[in-house]
Amino acid sequence: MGYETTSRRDVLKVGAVGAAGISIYGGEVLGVVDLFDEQHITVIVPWAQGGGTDRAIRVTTPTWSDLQGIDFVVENYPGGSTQVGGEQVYNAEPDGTTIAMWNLPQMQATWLFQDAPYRTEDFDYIGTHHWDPTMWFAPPDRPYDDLEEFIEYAREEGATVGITAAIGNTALSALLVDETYDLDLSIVNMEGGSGVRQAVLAGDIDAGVNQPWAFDPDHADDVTALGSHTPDQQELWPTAPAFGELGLDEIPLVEEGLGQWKLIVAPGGLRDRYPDRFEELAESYAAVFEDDEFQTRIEEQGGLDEIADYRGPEETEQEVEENAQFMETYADVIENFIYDQ
Amino acid sequence: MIDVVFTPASIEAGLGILTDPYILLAIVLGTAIGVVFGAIPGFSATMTIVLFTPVTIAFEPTSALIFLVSAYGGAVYGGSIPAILINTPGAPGSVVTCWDGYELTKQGRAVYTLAVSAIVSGIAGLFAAAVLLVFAPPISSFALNFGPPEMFLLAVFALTIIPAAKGSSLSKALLAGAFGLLIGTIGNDPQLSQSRATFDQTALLDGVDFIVVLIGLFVLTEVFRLGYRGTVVTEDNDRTGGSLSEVYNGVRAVVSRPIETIRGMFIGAFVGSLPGAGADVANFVSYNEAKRWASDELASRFGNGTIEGVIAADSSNNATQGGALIPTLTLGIPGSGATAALLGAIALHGLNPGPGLFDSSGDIVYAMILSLFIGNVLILLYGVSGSQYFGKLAYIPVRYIIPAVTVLAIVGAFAVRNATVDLYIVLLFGIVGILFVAYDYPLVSIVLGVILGDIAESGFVTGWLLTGESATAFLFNSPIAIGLLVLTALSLVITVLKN
Repeated sequence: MGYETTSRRDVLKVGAVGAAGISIYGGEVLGVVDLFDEQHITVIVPWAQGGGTDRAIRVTTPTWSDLQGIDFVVENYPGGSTQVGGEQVYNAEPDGTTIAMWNLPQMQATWLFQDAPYRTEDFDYIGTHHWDPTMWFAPPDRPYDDLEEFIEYAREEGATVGITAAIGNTALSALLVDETYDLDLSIVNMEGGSGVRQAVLAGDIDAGVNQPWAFDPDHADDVTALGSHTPDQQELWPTAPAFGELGLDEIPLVEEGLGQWKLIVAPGGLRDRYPDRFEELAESYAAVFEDDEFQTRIEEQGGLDEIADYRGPEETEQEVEENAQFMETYADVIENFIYDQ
Repeated sequence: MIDVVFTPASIEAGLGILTDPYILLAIVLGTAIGVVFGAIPGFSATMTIVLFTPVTIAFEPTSALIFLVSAYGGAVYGGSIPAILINTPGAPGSVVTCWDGYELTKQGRAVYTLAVSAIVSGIAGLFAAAVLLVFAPPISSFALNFGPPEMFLLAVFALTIIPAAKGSSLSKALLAGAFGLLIGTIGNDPQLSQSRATFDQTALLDGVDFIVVLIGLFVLTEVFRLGYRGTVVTEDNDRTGGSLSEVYNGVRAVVSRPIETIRGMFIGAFVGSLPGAGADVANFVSYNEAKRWASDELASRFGNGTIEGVIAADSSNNATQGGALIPTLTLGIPGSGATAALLGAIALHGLNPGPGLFDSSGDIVYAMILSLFIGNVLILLYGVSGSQYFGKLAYIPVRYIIPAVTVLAIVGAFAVRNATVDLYIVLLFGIVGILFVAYDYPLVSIVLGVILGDIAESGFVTGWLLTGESATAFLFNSPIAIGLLVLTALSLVITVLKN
């Protein structure tokens, strides 16, 4: 990224935007947010700042804002494995001023394994953003180069596997591998992508399950990519073999591909009550992915462009339902894990 | 592993950027804004970055990130100003500053204390920036060795400060600490995400935020006490008339105590570099070590208004800025809450934090690091020159202080996560604080329990599973773990002997 000098005009622009930003935030803090309902859209992120979902939405909203002609304000509501943020969007007025970037299958996990009050049908779906496959990583000094060799090692020696959350796709992948090969793995929740990355880099675990973009492809030389929970190799991390290529098809969900979708959701009822607003949001969101500046921006984000995958409202809803089905199918696997622990 | 090399060429590229007057303006404004927001109770460095990140959208990336990094440094320092003046830490990293800082203010030494705080903050910030510039790669590799067992043992070591809480019996300090640890267990458990003591409040799934506890215990309790007492400091003790000489005394106080400052800086830079631990932990550890290494006579004055206590707290909390940026910039792993927010801002401006950052955007990264030097010189200038004027705030009638501080505290508590339940929690802890003070239980032990309980629980559960549920494997996981174990044992033995 090159360095550019700042013009006087930029400074004035900054001042104006700054004043607007402070007005909006100050308004929220002081509880006068209603005054600004028509002037900005709140994007809820159910994770903390700096994580994959937060980074993905923050590189998207500048372009979306230009195309939609309205400011987007990102608000983070971490906690409860996304349930805290999920309830924020569930309880919001379905008027188009509140949306969220959420992820599958974490979304379904909050009502399957926690007591979240909402379900798939309680939301409207604007579109997908990207699909980050589930991938296994290992410290480079370990005596195995792919998942097949890891399975042999784990069968003989036992192994510790780090996951990003107790009830998401990384947990499911670890549990399915464990169950399929009857390995008795020690599966440990490292409380987020950063935790798994740190544990793999430090050699604290024998393998870590994460998503390649969340793990950051810049670490390609620092770790061994054991494989992706997909039928085919992934462009974002080409040195990682796919489970399908390794002949590990007996692991469930390899054919379908197990990963994490990031998607934009709105409170249910928006599409029915304000179809024009819903359509406008959906159209401008679709246009984001056609924008050259956006494509350049996500390319600079560790190759996010390689996994960006926009799908419209109908296809997104279909994807959500499919995710809900397979999570329900394998719910007992995760429930047993929680119960056993 | 981390291919980041410090070269004269990289310095030159960074310096080239810093010659732009608009970049310098971003540093001046960012630092000033950080100081002001950091001084507002509840508005931590994290919240300052979150609040101003959208404002920087119109900036080009370099000036935006330099502005935010400057605001970060300013906010860490700013938190000490209300801690010294009105016993209400502006940020979690300034809790310990209250102990001796406020006592000195009550003795009429506000200007002197503020000057000392500004000087050690600026020096510590400069030190941390130098560490970041030169030693980032080896330190980030070392920080990786702090796995869950080591983080648990570090938290336990920091918890040994509980008996040292000022002005209370050992048993009361331990009980208050246990209460804090109990509060820390509210929310989803870290391993299996099952809720505990959330009372059907969704916001509590993420636990009770320690900033909210801090505001309730310190700010509301102090507001009640101020109302009862009627003044922060009596006019008889007003020494702000000779404030320039007090500033000079402050300079002399720091110059004559280099060991205290250096020890605090090293502790701050080290703790800051550990993922998950920041100024909120560093200031406790530093204060505890300063007291431990002090003579018996000096140690007995800790908590009653000794300048060594302020130096220990403020040299460590400001040194965490550089330390926390090390894993953030080199590994993409945030070293603290504030740097996690900074990660989001870095992404927003098109940079990808992690090992490739120095290759792809080395000029910007080095400009950010070098801007910390200018920012900390500004903290020195703002703080030293402003201390004469800030000091007079302690003499403002409480009828003005109470409503202003109360409103800012409530707004700050709500702004942490926009949750209404936090307003009730603030009120609850305000009442708890009054009761604890009335019965002579130390408030800081509760805060320490809440802050460290989370780190200790995560470290213990994860570390226990990683080490095959074996106590010996857990406790003797690495040379670092053994070292921390020895330090903790020594700390406990000394505490028991002294009590």
